[in-house]
Amino acid sequence: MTEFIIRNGFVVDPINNINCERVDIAIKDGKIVESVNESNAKTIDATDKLVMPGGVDLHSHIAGAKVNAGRLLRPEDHYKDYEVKKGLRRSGTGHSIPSVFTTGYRYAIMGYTTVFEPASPPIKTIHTHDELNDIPILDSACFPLLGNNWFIMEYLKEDKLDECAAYVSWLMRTLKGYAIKVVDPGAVEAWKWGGTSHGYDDPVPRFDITPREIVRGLIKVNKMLGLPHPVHVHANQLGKPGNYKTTLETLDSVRDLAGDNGPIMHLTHVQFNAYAGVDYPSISSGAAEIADYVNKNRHVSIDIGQVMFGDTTTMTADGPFEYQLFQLLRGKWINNDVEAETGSGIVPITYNRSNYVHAVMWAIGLDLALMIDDPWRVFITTDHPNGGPFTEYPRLFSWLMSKKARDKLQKRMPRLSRIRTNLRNIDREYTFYDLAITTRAATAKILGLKDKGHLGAGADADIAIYNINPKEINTSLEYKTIRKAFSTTHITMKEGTIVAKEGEIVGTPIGRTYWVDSHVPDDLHNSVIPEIKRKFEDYYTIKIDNYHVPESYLERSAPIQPSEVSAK
Amino acid sequence: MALKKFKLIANSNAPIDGDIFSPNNLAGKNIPEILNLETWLGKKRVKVSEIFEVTDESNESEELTLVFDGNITQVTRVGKNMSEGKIIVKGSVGAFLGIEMSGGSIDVDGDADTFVGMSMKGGTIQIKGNAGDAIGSGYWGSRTGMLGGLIIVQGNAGDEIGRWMKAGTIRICGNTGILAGSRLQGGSILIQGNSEGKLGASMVGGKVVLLGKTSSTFPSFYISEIKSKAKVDGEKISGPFYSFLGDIVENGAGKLFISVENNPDLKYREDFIP
Repeated sequence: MTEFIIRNGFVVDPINNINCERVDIAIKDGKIVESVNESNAKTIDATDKLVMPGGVDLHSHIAGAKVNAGRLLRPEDHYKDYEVKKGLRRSGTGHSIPSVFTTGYRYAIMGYTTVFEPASPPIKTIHTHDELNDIPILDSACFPLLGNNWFIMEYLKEDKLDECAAYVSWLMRTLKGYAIKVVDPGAVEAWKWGGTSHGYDDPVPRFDITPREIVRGLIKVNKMLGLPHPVHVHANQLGKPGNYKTTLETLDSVRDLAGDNGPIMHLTHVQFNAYAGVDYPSISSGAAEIADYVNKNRHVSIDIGQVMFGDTTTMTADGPFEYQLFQLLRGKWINNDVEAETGSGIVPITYNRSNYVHAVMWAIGLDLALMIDDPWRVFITTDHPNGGPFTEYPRLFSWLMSKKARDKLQKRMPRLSRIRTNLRNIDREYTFYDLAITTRAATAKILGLKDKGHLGAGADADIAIYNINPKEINTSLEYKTIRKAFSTTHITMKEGTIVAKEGEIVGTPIGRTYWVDSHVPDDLHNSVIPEIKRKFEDYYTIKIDNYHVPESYLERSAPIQPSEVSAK
Repeated sequence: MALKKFKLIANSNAPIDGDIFSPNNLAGKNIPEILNLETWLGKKRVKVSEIFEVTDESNESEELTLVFDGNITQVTRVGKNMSEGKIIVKGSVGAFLGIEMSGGSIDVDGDADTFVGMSMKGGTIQIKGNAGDAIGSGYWGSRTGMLGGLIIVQGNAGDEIGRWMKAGTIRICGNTGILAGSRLQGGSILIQGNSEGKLGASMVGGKVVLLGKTSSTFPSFYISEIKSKAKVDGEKISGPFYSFLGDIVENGAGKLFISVENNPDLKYREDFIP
């Protein structure tokens, strides 16, 4: 392995408390080390450039059955945005749903090296792994969807927490999953039986369990198993005006379970769950209430799910929401019932600046990012591709860093949308330090990845060097420079290999697939497995042997041991 | 200005990406500059000099005119995005002719392939021969069809003419395939020959006028009256026509004019005229 030394760059590394200081970084065998033999090491000159750890995106739909179905549904998304083969770079197409290789390249060119796929129906997880295997460069993992799973709902109804934990543990090991994902808990199942609007305390038909009980139960299970990431929740009532109350209820329902070890629940794409008002014409921002709650309580972290104007595709396991969106837009759509587990849907959408509702959604995302004081608990995402493709991140960064940039855009939006949101009154601007926290350090920390998101000795040598001088630039005025700098790195390094240089792909190493090697005590495991097998025969159309994803299936497996096993 | 003459000399039948061949793109360029431009021949990147002979002839017209001598069926996307000038093809041309064009004109002496005038916004395309499927429609899956302009086909045309079309006019002098005017939002389609049926499936606006015979009509259109004349682009066309409204499965208000004279098997529907 080549040794490298990165000299003279302005390093931003929040975990090690380095803020725009000139620090040299030494790299050996894909890891960052204290020092290397300078005569052997290759020098990378980063004079007057910004050096950050490689980006970590914890919520981006990049792989799986729904992503592929989206590609099939939208040929028009592909014919204009294409890339031809060039050197190591394979050809590819797609704007909001790029093909697998293109996804990896585009993330690497922006300086991201770790991206997690947040929604994988257990029965289709083998497909998710197929695509994750194909995505070059990026380290990734997938979160199995458990919020509407029949096994889970039955265990929790009977209050069998130990058995439920054993089942979840078996799933993580069998499917090579990473964390518990909950999408619209209970409500998707209720909708499949014909239910419509579903509140946080409405029982699910035939299971007689409420979303509140499912979320609380899974958070307890998550604690018992010691999984590295908190329960990843997509809250109920997504997309409905007035839903910020449900969001607050969800956040507050687990407050008594909080420990000292940071957040126990990650609430995702909160922008879609922060609407006040009673219907779409009266929709307004509920971000202030949610930001206030998050500021006062430490047991929760959120990501924003920002809306970007333009054409994109929504895809979620929240089948009922996609049905409503289809009723609204009347375009083409896909809806799918995943047996015994969840639902899903895909609807193309174009977010329009002159549309009042879309303008409010845009402002709410930024409201959340700017009104929550602790950058360690609010992360920057577009919920790719639901709010917009991830390639729009540089634009989003410029709005966060420059009031001028967002004011200029907001002046061209409907007047009411400015009045009914808080953004016009917010003066806060992100610094490079804040940005490094929300896009790298904090996301790596909340995912439990100790080797990511920082540049201390022992960390993976995932490094992004940007063509921007943080000491000289006035971020509030030069927002266009920010956009340009963050869209193409000078150099992106992945585990000590240079993968991208000024927008060209120069290396395509295989990324890791993380999964949690979770275990419960043997006697508990042995008592649960026969029951799982019996129920599986009843509930599923496939054999249990076809459900497994063997470790050999992963291109580069990276098992993680849970922190502590405390199942009784 | 000038007239540039192109003669195909490529020694391969692989498709050629022709989106550089538009008057907008070539305006102000001299012959060596044009010969130096790059495009795709199959999967190979080639210079124009390897596939075309280009000569310069001046004429009195103020606009730049591109003339393609002979058949260029392997060249696709000719005239993409053009907004001015003229393209003349003395032969047949490949698919995606004049896509997203907003002005100027294209004349083809021979046949054209599929997707003529896809998502075009203005200008005129005239085809002396036959044309393929999806004239004046949007790309597969797209909800943006033709937005303006005029397409005239002297011969026959294929299926799905004017899918998702919103404005503009398509005139077909010959026969057409199935699903003409499907998902039509606005604008008008005039078919002087016969249709293979399924006219105006899921249309919500606009107008389809058929002078010949159709082999089927959808039950989701209701007949409102018999009209003696239909209007296309201000021009009155004498009928009489059965005037249908629909498509009611989409709550549509599109209009379908079908010739009474050539469709005797639709006579039973006269009983349903309110």
